[in-house]
Amino acid sequence: MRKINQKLNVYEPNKWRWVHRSGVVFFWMLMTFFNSSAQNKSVHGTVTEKDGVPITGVSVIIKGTTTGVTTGTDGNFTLMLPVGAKTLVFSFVGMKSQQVEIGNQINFNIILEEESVEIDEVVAIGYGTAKKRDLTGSVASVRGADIAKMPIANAAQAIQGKMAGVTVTSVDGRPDAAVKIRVRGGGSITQSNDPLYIVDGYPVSGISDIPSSQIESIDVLKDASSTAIYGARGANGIIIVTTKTPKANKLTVTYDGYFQIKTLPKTIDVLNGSDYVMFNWELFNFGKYSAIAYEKAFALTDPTTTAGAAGFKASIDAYTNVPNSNWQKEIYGKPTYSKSHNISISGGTDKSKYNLSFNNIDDDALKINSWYKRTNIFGKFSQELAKGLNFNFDARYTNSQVFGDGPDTNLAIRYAPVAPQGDITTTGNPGFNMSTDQVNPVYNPKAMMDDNYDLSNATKIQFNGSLSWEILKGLTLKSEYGIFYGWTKKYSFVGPLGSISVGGMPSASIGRGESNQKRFVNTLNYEVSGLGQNHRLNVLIGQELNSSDSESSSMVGKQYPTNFTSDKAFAMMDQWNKTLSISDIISNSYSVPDHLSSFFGRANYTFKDKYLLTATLRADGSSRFSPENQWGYFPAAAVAWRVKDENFMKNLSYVNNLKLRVSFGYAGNNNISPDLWRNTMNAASGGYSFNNVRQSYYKDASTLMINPDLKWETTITRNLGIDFGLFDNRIYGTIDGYWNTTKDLLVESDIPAYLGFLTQQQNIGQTRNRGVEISLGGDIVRSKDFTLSANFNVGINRSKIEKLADGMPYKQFGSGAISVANPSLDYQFEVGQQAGLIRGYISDGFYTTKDFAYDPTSKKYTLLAGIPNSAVVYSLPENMSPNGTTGAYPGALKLKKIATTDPDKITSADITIIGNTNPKNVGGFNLNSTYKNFDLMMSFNWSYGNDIYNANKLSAASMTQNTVNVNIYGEFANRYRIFDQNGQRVYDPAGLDALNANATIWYPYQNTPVIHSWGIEDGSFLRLNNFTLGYTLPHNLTQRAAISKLRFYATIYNAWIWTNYSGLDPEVDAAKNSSLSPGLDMNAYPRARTFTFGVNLVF
Amino acid sequence: MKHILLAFSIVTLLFTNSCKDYLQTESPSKIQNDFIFSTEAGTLNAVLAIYTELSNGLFLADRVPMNCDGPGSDIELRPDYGETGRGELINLFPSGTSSFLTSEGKDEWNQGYKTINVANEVIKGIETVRPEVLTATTPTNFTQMYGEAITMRALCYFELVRNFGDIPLLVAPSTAGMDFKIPAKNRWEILDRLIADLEKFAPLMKWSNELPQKAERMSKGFAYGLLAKIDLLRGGYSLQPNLSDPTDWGTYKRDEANWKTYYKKAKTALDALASGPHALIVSDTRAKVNAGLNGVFGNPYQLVFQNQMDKVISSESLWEMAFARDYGGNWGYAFARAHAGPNTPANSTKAYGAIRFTLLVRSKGSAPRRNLRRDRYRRGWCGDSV
Repeated sequence: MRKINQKLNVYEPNKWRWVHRSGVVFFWMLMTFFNSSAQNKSVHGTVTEKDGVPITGVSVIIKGTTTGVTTGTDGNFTLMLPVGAKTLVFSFVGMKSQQVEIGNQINFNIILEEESVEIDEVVAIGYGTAKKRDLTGSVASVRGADIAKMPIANAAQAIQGKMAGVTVTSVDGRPDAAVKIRVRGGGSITQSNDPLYIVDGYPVSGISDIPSSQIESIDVLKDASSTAIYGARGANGIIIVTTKTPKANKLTVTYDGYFQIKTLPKTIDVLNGSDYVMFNWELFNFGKYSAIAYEKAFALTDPTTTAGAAGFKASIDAYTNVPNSNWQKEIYGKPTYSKSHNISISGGTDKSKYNLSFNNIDDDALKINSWYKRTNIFGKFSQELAKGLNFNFDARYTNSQVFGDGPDTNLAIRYAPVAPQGDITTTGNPGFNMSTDQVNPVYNPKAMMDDNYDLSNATKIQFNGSLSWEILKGLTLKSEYGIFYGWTKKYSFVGPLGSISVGGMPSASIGRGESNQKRFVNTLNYEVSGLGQNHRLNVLIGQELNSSDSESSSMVGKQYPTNFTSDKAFAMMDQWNKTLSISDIISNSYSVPDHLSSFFGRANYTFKDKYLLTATLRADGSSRFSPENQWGYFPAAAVAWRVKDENFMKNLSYVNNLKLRVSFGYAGNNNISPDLWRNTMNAASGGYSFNNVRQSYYKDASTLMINPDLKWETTITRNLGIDFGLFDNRIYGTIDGYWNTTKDLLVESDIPAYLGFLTQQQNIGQTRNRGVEISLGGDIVRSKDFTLSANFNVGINRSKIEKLADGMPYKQFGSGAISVANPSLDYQFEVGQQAGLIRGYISDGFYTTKDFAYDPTSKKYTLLAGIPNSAVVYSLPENMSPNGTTGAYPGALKLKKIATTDPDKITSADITIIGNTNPKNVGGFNLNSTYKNFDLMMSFNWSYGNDIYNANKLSAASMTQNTVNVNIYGEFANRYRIFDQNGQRVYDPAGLDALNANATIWYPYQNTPVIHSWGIEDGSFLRLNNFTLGYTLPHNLTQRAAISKLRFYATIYNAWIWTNYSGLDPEVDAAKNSSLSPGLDMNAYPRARTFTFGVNLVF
Repeated sequence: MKHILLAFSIVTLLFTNSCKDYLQTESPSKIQNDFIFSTEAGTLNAVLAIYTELSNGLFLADRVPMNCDGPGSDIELRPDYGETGRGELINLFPSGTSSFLTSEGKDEWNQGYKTINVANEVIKGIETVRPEVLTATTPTNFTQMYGEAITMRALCYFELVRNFGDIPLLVAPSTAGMDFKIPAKNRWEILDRLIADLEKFAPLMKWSNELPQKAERMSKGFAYGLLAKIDLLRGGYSLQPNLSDPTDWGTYKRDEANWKTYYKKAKTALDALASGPHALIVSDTRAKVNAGLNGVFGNPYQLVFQNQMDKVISSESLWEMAFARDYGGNWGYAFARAHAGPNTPANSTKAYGAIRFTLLVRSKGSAPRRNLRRDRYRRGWCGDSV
């Protein structure tokens, strides 16, 4: 130990003292185990750029050791060489590394060249890597260096707006929001369109829990010629995340940390206190509940009496003076804080290298009484066991905890802004017994949140080991084995307030899950030699086994003693009310194990370094299908022509790169439930009863008729691409056009009901996605002190459903966002159209007195000829209109007649397509600039032309006679009135006209919520997603503290958004089943605007 | 060279380690017939699946008694069966917009056939794993359960035939490979099949007092009772379609050659039923407490309902469809609403079940005055159950 320290102290005493203190000495020992020699000679020199400018901070290392120094501000270095030192390695970020033989040389003047990022970039292509110049398929990439500059929580966010044709949408703003990534739209209708996520070769379910600081690169394989290597799982694109690999380098310790303040950028405007009271008073007059009781509860005077009428307005207006609460601000409005720390240690010699990192996020989510915590520990180790024999090992641990998950936006919007000033007790005012939950101060949203306890805890552990052996020169055998274990726990508790219907006796549940995966891969890679100058051939063959299974259990208890808190209930789960007849108290079940057996091969052939050919074939056998249909074969081929290297291009010096690519191939989607092909039964409970006790029984596991002929959905992709670089690579880019056809889509086809099933899954559908993707980059200024670069990407995708089942022109689905809505099936998938269309009526304003003939005796309004009645669609409250519930009345919502049938009323024939959730294009642009030691980054992303189904707004605009005491959107303050401000009902047309001269919107009383075009909004947006300003301290300053880099930065995330969307945020996808009901905004968690202050520190 | 040999042997070894079994996976949470029918308890669990489907709101718990009861035989042209939007022989001549076609009748059809398919699966499962039930001569627990499956299937077809007439007959589980187009079978052939099934397996079932769950399961008595009803339906008149002219209302006819045979069969079945423990309660064994209105006993019919309240299963009950306390459904809604009043000729607002079963003037008028049940026919339970 002493020896090591002595040796280190010779070079940079301050630095190593820190290391010593940090307790990483153990790894230091490990790393220096192979290195034991003493110094005997000093060398020195200068490192400069091409134009002679000295470079500060270049790492100068003795090859094969960890010994080295960094250059000073003048680019100079001095280094003591140990015995046996032969080669120096000079490296610097953004520059090509150089190795120089030492020999007898003492003075080294080194010129480092800039790395030509675009062409020499190495990208992951599945079971290997390729240089970008050798690619034949369509692959988009983001480098870790670009990600590291921004404080983002995870890998999924890192690619948002960065890649053409890759759409990243998070469900909403909650800290653990699920992220939906779509590569080129996705071809499936009923099955998952999620891409396959591969992290360091290993398939995972998502990349939201990978800290951005651990990422080396993210590559997205888009066309089948690149995805076919993943065969049955490749149809929706592949997202390959490569984490930082250990490099033979001196010891580097990195710390990245930030502190973040979250704020609520927007709230929904709702009625203020007095408007709220007036609105609900009207509703009580119309509905089935007593207006007198309402007046008593809210201390209003009775306007049916002369005295009461005189004081009515004042009693309503009194609510402007009582405290008005904005529950959205109460719940989400207080700024909250989050912190993140990341420490990485890496180092090693030529033979053994390691990399360790620790990451922790502690996020007080925007919502009160909720938080998110995540810890990642990650290590990679590689060791050369013998010449040509390498061992790699990596381990990953992730724990994430979410408390108080889920949004309460709707609750906050709907809850009364003022407390009733009258009598709401059941004894004093029994008529007001109904629906007090929205108005009783005891049940205010904050109290409800404190009442509940909801903690989810997920832990994952993963180990991968691989052995690669270069048997002959160019022939490498690699064998990898990986295991994964995951545990989830979920604790839920509903306290006394939520259990009021059972006497305040709380309920609790605990759920646990366990899952594991194993993977075994063997590949043989042969870089064929001896083919001559003009030919290069690389062949890969491989075999892979994947398996996964899981187990889940739950226990549920109800009606615990009223003094039980959450911790008591979880600690004494058996103390539930045993007199209850409840089923499903305990359950445990196993999933069907999922096995995949695969063989694959790929050949890359290059002729004269100009003509490239890739051929791929994968055979996948999946346990999800019947033995007859288990195997699928997925071939693909691609050619590329490096036009730039042709002789006729030699003179065009401004062209640095020009390549054409064409590809064609097949990939599959096996993302379907197992056991749809065979008849099995499940144990179920809660069936028929004997002696008042519900019995357990066995039932068919599938509610669909099973289909042994099922096979995977197959996507055929055709891709044409061009890569170019111009003017000394100042402008570079890629343009891709594609045409994907997904056939054998699983569609639930209707079968005759007498078979005992209504539907059967069959491979009969077909969809198409066509599109263009453009990404452009430009280095606008490249001077020493000032650089400015920009990149831009856009993806334009057009999907089309080409076929559903035979004789099935369309299929409709209900999102269930608004219960008992008309129409209940609010999404449509229609042959010849895009997927994800929204169905409903077209809004046509509201009825005015001019639409009617008025009879003063009966006070009835009769619609004039030619004006259809819309009230039949939604019906008005029981006691509101002399025209009855289904008669139209002035001020009621008017819907547009489009069908020729039933001209006098609106019917289901007038339901039409009112929205299209597919954007016309999506994209992003990013600006990067440095000025001296300052750096600036701005990244924008946009979506254009998509509609959002604002179910939040529609649902809040349909107050039924049963949903009283609920607050509604603020724009209804301007609604059509049929009571004047003194609480007097106005019937005659002249009076109504005078009262409503400034009315802009119908009154929102509908007994059935209607889906109509008013609630479908343009969801186009442009967001300045990230604005970062950083400052790196001069190297000569930090060097004294043994710091090779110290950067401070400030970032605004979600800095600004340009949109016409009226909801909280247009980037929303809140449906339970978002592939069948995309673009839905319902009760979404608001997206915070965050202000971050952070530091990057490298030792 | 040694290296190469070693390498290739390893590669060969690694590449052949995939065996066929790897792709055959099963979850222990999903079970198959041989496990289910190997024990009595497992078989009962399978039979309970039929009960569960049968007592679903889309069939016996709601649709059949509330919306789809009735015609199909002698009474199908009854003039008193009518309410705007609901009646008018809806079941036989529904108009295009009738909710019977889009909702109630459709529900009954879908759920009825779903129940039939579940019954067919259980019947086939028992036949495969327990073939001895087919040759048994005395009732065992397995023949009882097999009989329950047969009886429930017969009950479904009985209700469907009454509402829909000639329909497809499926007596084996539906499978993916079969021809999905199955023509309608003449109702007499269907009923003959049901009669044959019940005649064969009713004797192999147990009486309800021999079952631990008493009348909450279908028993020999219920099977004989159902058999008698099916016999009567088979022997009675029905409206049969004119297959060459779909616009024709069809012909109102009966099986002139055999109708008496079926009526005799019905008597045989009812005699068999009467030989068992079931009987009408004709005397009230309870002591009179006082002479007041609330204390007067001597009402055997009231005793039946009192027994229900006391959870005593009456000897009158052939089968009581059991609803546990937490069962969700429209049963209470249908039967427990206040009647609109004695002088209201129309259906009371929500007393579907009561009114459907009782407003038949003929049956009310034909009841002897001494029949204490007559007055109960028009009485729903009081109280707003919503």
